Amino acid sequence: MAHQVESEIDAIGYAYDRGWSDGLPVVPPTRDRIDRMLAAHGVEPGREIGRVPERKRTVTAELAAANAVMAGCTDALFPLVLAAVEAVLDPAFNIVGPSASTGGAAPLVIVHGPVVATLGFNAETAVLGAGNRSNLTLGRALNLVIRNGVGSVPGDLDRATVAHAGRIAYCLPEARCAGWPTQGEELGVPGDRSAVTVFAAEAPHSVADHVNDEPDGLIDSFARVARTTNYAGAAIVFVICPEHRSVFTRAGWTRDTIRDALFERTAATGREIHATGRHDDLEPDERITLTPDRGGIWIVFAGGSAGGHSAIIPSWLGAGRGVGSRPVTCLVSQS
Amino acid sequence: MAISLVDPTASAAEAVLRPARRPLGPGHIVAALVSNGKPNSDVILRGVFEQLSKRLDHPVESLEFTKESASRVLSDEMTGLIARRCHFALVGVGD
Repeated sequence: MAHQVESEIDAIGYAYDRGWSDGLPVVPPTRDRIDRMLAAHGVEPGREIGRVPERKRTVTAELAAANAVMAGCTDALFPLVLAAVEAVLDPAFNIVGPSASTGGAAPLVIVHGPVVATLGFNAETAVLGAGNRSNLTLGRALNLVIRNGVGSVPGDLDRATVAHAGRIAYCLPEARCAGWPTQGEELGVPGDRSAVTVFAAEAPHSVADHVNDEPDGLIDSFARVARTTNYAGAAIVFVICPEHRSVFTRAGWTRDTIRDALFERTAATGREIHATGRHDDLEPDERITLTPDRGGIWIVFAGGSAGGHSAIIPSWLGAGRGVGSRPVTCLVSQS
Repeated sequence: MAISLVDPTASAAEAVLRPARRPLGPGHIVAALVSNGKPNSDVILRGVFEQLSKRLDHPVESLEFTKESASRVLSDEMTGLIARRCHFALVGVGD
């Protein structure tokens, strides 16, 4: 079917009418824009990025580029879009689960490595907020592919009860901090490479602590908030801001120290979990840890330099401790 | 000047679906009750099956199955087992 309009403005309305949009105006997906994006990285339009066998769909590079154009991505971001799409179409991620579930999870894209700086991502002030083109268009492109390529359209195959704003764009660039290894490196990303990790995620839970300047008290603040989450993921992301990171730095703590303390102090009993309506399959005295193992406690340093405001990003409720969905990391190709 | 847009959507591949044979011979009917594992899925399925049994002319029995994960589609192994042993399936979905 030919899709012809008279003007760029008409194209924006046309995209709304056809159901291509996420609710925001899109950049019209013209052949020139798509071909330029593909050619910039030597990617064949028909290259298969992944499949959705449950829905008999195939996502090609051309489709990914069309949605990246609509999202407002620069051509330079396209390899990250491809990596993110490849990751969500990995069977371990199980895209049809989180994108259809009443749980309303959104795909969080964590960006690791040199591209955070070279492609102008914002890992500092308002890192999960508005204002940065790379942050928002990468997250948006992935969500548009999930809508238009995977077919998860709200009210149709997407049955989210409430969902959250991450369904528009949800991107967390990881800051590189002197003296601290990154979460990307812990996931096996070589130091000189860039990668994206996709994670079926709830909205961020705020951890505001302007009092504790010793690590134990700060860990207690994190644990207090973490105990309200669903204990359902193979992983959970602790976004630690610079002020909170400095508390750990001064005390000589390492990533392992932080992780072990969080893992231990978030362990709960079935009785405690039942009280909040979660995990009714647990015996009252049965112990449950926040994630199946310590490796599921992820630490990403990010955020502005002022303010004791960190965040915890829990997994989608249906992740089933990794059975329903697992985070997937894909390297960004180097063209 | 007209602007041509590229369709950014993917369509599901055409699937050739043929109804399975429905051998309602002299034997009884076997229904698969496939629970998604969420609370009360099995309860609802048994309730529906009970009502259905009253309306069928043939003797009918049920075999109960539970998905390995509520978040994933039925495995090929379980689908094959149901196809071999049952005449039809009732599936519990939702929360």
